[in-house]
Amino acid sequence: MRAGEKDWRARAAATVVWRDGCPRLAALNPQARTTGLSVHMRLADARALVPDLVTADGEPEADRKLIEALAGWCDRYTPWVAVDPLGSALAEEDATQVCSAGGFGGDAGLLLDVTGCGHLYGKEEAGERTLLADLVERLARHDFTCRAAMADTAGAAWALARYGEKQADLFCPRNGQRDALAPLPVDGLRLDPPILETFLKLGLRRIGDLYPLPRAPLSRRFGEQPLTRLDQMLGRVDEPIEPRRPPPAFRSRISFAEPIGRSEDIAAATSRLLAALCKQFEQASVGARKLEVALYRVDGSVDRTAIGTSRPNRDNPKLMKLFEDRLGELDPGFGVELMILSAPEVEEWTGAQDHLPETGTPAKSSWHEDGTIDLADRLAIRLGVENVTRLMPHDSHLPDRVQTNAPLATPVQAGAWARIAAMKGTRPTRLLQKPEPIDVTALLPDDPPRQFQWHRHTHRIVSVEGPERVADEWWRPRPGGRLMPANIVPPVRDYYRVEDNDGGRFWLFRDGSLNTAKWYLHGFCA
Amino acid sequence: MKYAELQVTTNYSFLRSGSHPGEFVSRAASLGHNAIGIADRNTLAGVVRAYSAVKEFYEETAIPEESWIKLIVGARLETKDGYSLLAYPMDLDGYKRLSRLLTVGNRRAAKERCELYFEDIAQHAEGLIAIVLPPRDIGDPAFHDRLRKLARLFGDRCYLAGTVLFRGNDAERLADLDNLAAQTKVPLIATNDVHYHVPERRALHDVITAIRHTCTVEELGFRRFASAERHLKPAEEMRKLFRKHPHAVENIQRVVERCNFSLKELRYQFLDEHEGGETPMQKLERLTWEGAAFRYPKGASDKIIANIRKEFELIREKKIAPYFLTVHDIVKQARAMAILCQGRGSAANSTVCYCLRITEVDTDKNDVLFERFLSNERDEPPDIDIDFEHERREELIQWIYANWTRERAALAATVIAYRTRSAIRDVGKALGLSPDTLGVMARTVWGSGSSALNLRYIREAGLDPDDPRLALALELSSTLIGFPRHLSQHVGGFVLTADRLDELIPIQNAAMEDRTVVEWDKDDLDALGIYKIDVLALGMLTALRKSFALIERHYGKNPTLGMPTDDAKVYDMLCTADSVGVFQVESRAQMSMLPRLRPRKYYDLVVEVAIVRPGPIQGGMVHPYLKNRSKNAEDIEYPGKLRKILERTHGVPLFQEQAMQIAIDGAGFSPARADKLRRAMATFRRAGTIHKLKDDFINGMLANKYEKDFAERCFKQIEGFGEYGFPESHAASFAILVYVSSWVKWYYPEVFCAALLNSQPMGFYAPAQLVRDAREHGVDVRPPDVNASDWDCTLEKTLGPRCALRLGFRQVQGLAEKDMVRMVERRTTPYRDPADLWRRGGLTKRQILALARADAFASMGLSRRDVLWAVRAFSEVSLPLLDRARIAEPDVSLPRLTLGEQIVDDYSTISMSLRAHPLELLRPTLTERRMADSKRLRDARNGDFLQMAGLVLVRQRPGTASGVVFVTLEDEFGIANLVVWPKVFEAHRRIVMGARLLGVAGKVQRDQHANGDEGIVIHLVADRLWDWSADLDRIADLDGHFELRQGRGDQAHSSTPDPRDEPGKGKKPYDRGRIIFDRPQIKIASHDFH
Repeated sequence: MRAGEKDWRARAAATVVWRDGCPRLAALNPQARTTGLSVHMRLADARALVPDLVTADGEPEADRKLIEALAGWCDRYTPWVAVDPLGSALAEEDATQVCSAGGFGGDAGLLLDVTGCGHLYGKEEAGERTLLADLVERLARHDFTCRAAMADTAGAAWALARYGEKQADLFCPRNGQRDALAPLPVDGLRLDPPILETFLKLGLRRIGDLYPLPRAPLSRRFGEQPLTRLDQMLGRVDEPIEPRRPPPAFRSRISFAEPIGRSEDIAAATSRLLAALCKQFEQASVGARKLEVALYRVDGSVDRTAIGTSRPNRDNPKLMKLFEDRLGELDPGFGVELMILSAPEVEEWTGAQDHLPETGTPAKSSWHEDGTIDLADRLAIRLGVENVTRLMPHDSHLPDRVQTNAPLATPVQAGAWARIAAMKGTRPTRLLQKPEPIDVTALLPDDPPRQFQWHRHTHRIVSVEGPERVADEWWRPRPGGRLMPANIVPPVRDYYRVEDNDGGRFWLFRDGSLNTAKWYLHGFCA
Repeated sequence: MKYAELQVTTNYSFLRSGSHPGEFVSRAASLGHNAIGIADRNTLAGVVRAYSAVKEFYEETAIPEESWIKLIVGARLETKDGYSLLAYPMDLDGYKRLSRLLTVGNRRAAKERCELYFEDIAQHAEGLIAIVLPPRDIGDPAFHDRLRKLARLFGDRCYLAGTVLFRGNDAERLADLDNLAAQTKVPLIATNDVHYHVPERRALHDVITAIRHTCTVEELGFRRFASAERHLKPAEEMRKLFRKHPHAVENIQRVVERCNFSLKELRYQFLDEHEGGETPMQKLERLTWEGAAFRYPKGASDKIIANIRKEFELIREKKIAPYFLTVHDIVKQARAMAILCQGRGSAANSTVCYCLRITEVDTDKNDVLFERFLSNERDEPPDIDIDFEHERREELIQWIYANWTRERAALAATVIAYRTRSAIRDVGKALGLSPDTLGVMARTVWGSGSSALNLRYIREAGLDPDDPRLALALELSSTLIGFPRHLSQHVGGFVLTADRLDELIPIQNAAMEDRTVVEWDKDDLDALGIYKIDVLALGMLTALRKSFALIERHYGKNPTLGMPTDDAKVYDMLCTADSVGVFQVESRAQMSMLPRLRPRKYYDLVVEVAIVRPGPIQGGMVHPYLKNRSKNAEDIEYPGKLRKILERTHGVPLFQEQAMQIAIDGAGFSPARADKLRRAMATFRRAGTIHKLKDDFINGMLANKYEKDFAERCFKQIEGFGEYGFPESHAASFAILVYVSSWVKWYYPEVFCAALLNSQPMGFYAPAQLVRDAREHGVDVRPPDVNASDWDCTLEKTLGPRCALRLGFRQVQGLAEKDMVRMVERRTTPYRDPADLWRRGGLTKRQILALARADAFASMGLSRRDVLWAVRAFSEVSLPLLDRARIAEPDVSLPRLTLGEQIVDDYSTISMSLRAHPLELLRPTLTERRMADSKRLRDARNGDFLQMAGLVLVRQRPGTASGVVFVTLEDEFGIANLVVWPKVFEAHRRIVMGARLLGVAGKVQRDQHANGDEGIVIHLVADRLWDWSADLDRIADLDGHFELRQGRGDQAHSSTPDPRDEPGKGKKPYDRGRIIFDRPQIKIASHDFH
């Protein structure tokens, strides 16, 4: 949201993305919805309707990250969390992001399989109801508007969350989905749009309208999808579930009555979790290759850090040592209410501890063949990726801009160096980082130089070639951030290759207009 | 010290230069150069601009023509096999060869890209001077080879260009070139390879280069010039640069002396019509007298005979008889092909044109001003524009090409130039502005203007125009506006010559198939006195021809355009503003004028057509005219000596001719100066000239004792005419079409409606309104049906005297003509069921579904849903199985469509419903809300308070109405016209712009006749407004599926091509299925005006 629009929450607001050739609304806040705006509307049309619409650039990537983060947050209820890719991914419970005040909205949704998780909140159905209520309430506390439904099947929960009429109906009792879903629109069946459209045209508008139809004519006309969806929703057919992150088999959790924040407390808790986990490893006869600790903070966000080992490991003190370096990176924020330690990667326990590979071991992969990359990667980890760079050719008439620094991984365009080399004919072999001012004597202001003084030494020029005239790159900001007006004659540099009486060859240039020209030495020719 | 730049690239080498031809010319002249050579890449497109610029530069000076800068016209030839040279003709013959050479290259290549080879140059080299352009690397042996070949070809007419490039090695490079020149005996000649007239254009040139390479300026790299040296330089500077090679500069003058061709020498050659020993004039006289005998079977009146004699005299004097014969030939051919046509414009003032059946305005019954068409004082070609049926004009165009051959006939070009929106878009892209920003900026431009962007709008759109990068983009784009981008074809201007046209102007292929265009546009042609004939397209002529055909077929009558124009019933109809679909007078403004003007005779229609236009409206002439009209003739006062001019329009000037005449008689202008005034207005308004002319005009009027107020109104009117000129003769031609279309509408409303529907897109109203109007006139309109309809709308016999109108498949969304025609051909017996239609009728499932959506299966007794269900089961693999499978299927009963759903579907497929109006269903709700209907409005009295609701058909914000928004509403009883004042509009903006169903409360405004009777022009002046669009969605009990077609909605959205430029080829004049927001700049004038 634009700065200075502090009161946007109270007004119609929308995010805007560029789509189909023009800016369009991507997500709306509730105020905007009530004014008749809709997603995908052109911004110009929207402005005609709501001239004071508050807009911000949509950031689909940030939206995606946010929903991912929410999915991570939902790990508190179950490890089986999937981000719903517009209704095709399934799980047993569904928290739909109808419209968040945070600026993104639309159809983002999460699917949670909470089978066997309800017991933490109470017995049987009561526990599940509490879990559902807890989820909605916690999200609301963090300013998310959400509709969550629970049912026996993912399909039913999906439909209820989106199309259920009243909040009270969103909890579908065991085996109650057939009746609960009958009055819902067929949109709830997650059908391909063309099929959905045809259903509407045929007057088949509610899910219940499909119950009496004979199956054979229906499948002849629409393929298997409607029947499959119906069967899945009603629980006649199983639906496989694809969680967002494969749930680790080894995991231990600890929740705090009072949120903790001190690093010693976090370390102590980690140690306790690690002890519990190592016990699990022993029982299963495995060792960890990767361990991850997640802090669930009171503000709803999650922070994680992970360690890796090169051999399966279940040595509590050693693992703790590895963790100690990392725990400092974790930010407890306003307090941590829950910690989970998990082992996403484990391997069968081999018994022996890791040792360094012997020198002279035959190279196994290209990794070893290209030592440069190996080195560069190590350096990058130490120094930061942005600090390990390579020279890149850059097409520019300005000698100082002919090469630039770029991150090491940036590919070089074929032929780019050759183009630069073609320019080199009249260019010096060595260029000074910064041109050095010199005193020059010339007959007339626009004549080539006759002699010049550099480092208190006078060079008499015996031969001269040039000038090469290079104008400034007018579209680049001047020092101080100002741009040059486009309609002025640009300042130019006149470059000369000169040879002095000692046989030294230099690259000089005259800068600026003739009357106020200054001379510089910029390089040395071969 | 003499100098002339011989290598100038203007912006007619599209996207390669930073200056206009005129800018180069005036800059070179200011620098004291004695000549300038214009050579664009493989084209002569910019040379006439340069030629006109020379004239303009010296126009106001006393410098004699011999001392003007010498314009050397040529082209830079770039061949596919690597040759690069400047070619300058030394004389007329050389020019002809160059023009033919370019034509050869143009015609060989796809549009706009000239494809030349050395062999072509070899065949056309005579009379041309060649200046060979060396590549960057002059050591290239291939180049030496090419240079030697060119030297052999051109002999002593060959030169080698040397340019100081400032790349650090110029001394060496020039020395090498000089050596090469000496070796090959090709003299070195100095040029500066000029790409902009002043160095300040360097940035723009970089931007243009980036646009050409579709990259940003930053990405251009070495493709941009390193410095700003490619501009016109003073002689001393050039001498200094070539101080070691002075002969290179001297050689320039040698070339200048040898090139003595001037565009002045181009003479337009009329088509030679010598036949059977007759001179063209004799032939014209014979044809005219024959025509007169046809036009006046009872013998021509003395007035006519005198007119003809007078016109002959002028035609003979100006030697333009062949021009008339040419036009006559075209019209004769059109008649032979049964294509309806009619001359428009000033030609309607000519009796000869009437007799030759070029125009239809009977000069016997009407007073005409032949001088407007042709006069001795004006040295300009006569202007004959002819309208043809828009659907069949192409046939005629192809006939012209065939008859005159491609060497002698071609269309004029139109230069497509950068406009506000395209300029900011391209400059912004080149500067790397984000697409979002550019989108927002382009959105602030309404329509396709050429003015700089309005900073206020940009600020309102949330952008900061002071942001350096944005400011730079704005600045550069304002310079780019007006730069030619490419050549397109003129709407219909043909250049026809007796000699080879390709020796006059290079000809190229147009983007449209089978069309060839010359490289010059109409201004260029005008500047050189080259005649063109406008072959234009008019939708109403198509509709009238179709009407005539239907009348003949179903009622056995044979009406023509030349019918008498005196049927009182037709005028009665027009007086009640019953003019939906009628040519020109169907717009809302025209409709409200009709009852006030009460036309009773043909000339009233001429006035009616001309009066509702920006000229008379801005000039405040409308009310004085209406007032004077109701007076007795004796009571009208005529200012000064103007009685003769103003008598026929009751003392008020309404036509362009009158305004011009006032300038002459009233303000003492010479005819030539009056014409200059008109031109100054018509073309881009050059502020300086206009102010001077305005002062002269007002002072002249005052000096002749006219009132200041009257003088200013007259001037204002001329101003208004400038852009939307409507001369009397033009109005006279159009008035005939007004009468004839009214006649058809009155006597054969079903024919009229069918013909209009079959000629879409055209006119002001969408098909729904045309059908509605027809039904209100008692026409039985029947829905499309698979077993009854054709592609076109047809008439069906009924028991009564009138035929019924059967809607054709063309009204149904999503069907193609050729498939439906085939289906109709195969309909030897009625189709049994959808499957029959599929197999026998050859329709695809998609097409059958389109027909089902349109409910076109009534003859089979099938509903939309029945067909849809059936079609879904069609299997592409085994047809016989299908039949069996169908029998075996259990019956499925689908929910019945409600009336509301039917209506919704009707609207979404044929954009109308013959069943019921949506508001009929909503009427109970509306009554609950105490909403009246349009019937009540019709009976309301002036000043009554009324509230009602209706579907929004049209929203308009005419430029002449200072921010007032007009909304046309429709309910089940008719149309209601709403006036929304700016203040109310701002308060209800969202509702006015967004509502599909609009509720309104306000005061009734009814015009009063002079005698106190209430008129029939009714407006509801909105006070409060409500958006009830949600109720429309409720009709079908479905969300968001109600689609409403809006009339003429998207005009403002289509920047190029303008549908009016190419009738029949443009976008549909409405946009379906989406809510359209009319842009406020829509003017009444922009409707139905060709």
